Amino acid sequence: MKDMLVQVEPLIPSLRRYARALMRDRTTADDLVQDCLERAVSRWHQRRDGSVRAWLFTILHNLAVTQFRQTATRGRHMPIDDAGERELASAAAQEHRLIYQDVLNKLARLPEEQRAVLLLVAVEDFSYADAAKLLDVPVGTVMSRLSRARERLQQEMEGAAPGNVVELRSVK
Amino acid sequence: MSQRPITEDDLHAFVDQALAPERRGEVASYLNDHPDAAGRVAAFASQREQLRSALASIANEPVPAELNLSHIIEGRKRRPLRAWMAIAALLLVGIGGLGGWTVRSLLQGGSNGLSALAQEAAYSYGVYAPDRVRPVERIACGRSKYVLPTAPSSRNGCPAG
Repeated sequence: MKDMLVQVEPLIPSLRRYARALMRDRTTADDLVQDCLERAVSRWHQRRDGSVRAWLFTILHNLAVTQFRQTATRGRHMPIDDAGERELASAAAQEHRLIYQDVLNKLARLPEEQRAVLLLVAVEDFSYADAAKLLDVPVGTVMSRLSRARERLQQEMEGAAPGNVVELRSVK
Repeated sequence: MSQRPITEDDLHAFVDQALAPERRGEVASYLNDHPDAAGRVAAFASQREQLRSALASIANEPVPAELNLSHIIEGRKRRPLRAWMAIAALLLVGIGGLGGWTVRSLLQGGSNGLSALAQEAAYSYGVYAPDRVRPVERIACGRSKYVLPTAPSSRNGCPAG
């Protein structure tokens, strides 16, 4: 249990970051991380040799996928736009936060599969091979999802003029 | 020029800094010659930086109490205790049931007092009730019949004479 504490604890911030970026809602994301950690504690002896980080992210990702499926059948607990607006309001004073929020809003519009790949590769620094193993898909699928995610995000960013964000907020 | 053609995957790997130094050099020189591809790569790299900066603050937040790993391990340790309690409860129920059954059979097979009497009565009933040849109740006036086994027995009162 001691080595688990040493190996897992430093990874919690990045698990939270991935969960939050994937789910958008803070409470949902942290609940997911909590589930993930509880599973990790109970299955610590079952893990195979290899990266603890990849193992934890695999657990977290699978929990997130389950959650997505439940949300798809039950309906969303909280509208994603509301969450964005609430966060926007708190950060409105800082313009750079606004730009970040803009990126995150656009990220949220990507299909979940593409979002997951982009986050794992570009933010969490997983190699393409590790991301493929983690998502249980071939590397080719990872590459095509990554490519589509980047192209689509780029289209969104070019499509929206800087003023558009503010305009959208005032309409809402 | 015998080098492998630059693929879309190479461009992404360039952005993600996942290329071997040699290949990286090849892609860099390709981008020098192809401004369109260079533009896309620059845009992807800027996306990557924006995403990383936007999400960096989450990783810097203090970890909430419910995600404190020591607490989760503690909670986990307490849970086996609950499992043991469940096992103990099951065991107790089992012992109770078994004990009850044993006592029941002991009481049934008892050879003293009221239960013995009841047992005997039950046996007697079992033996005599279905027996039609030797009815238990006989009528005094038909005594002669008992002497002659060949005569048909009558249970419907005394024959005249």
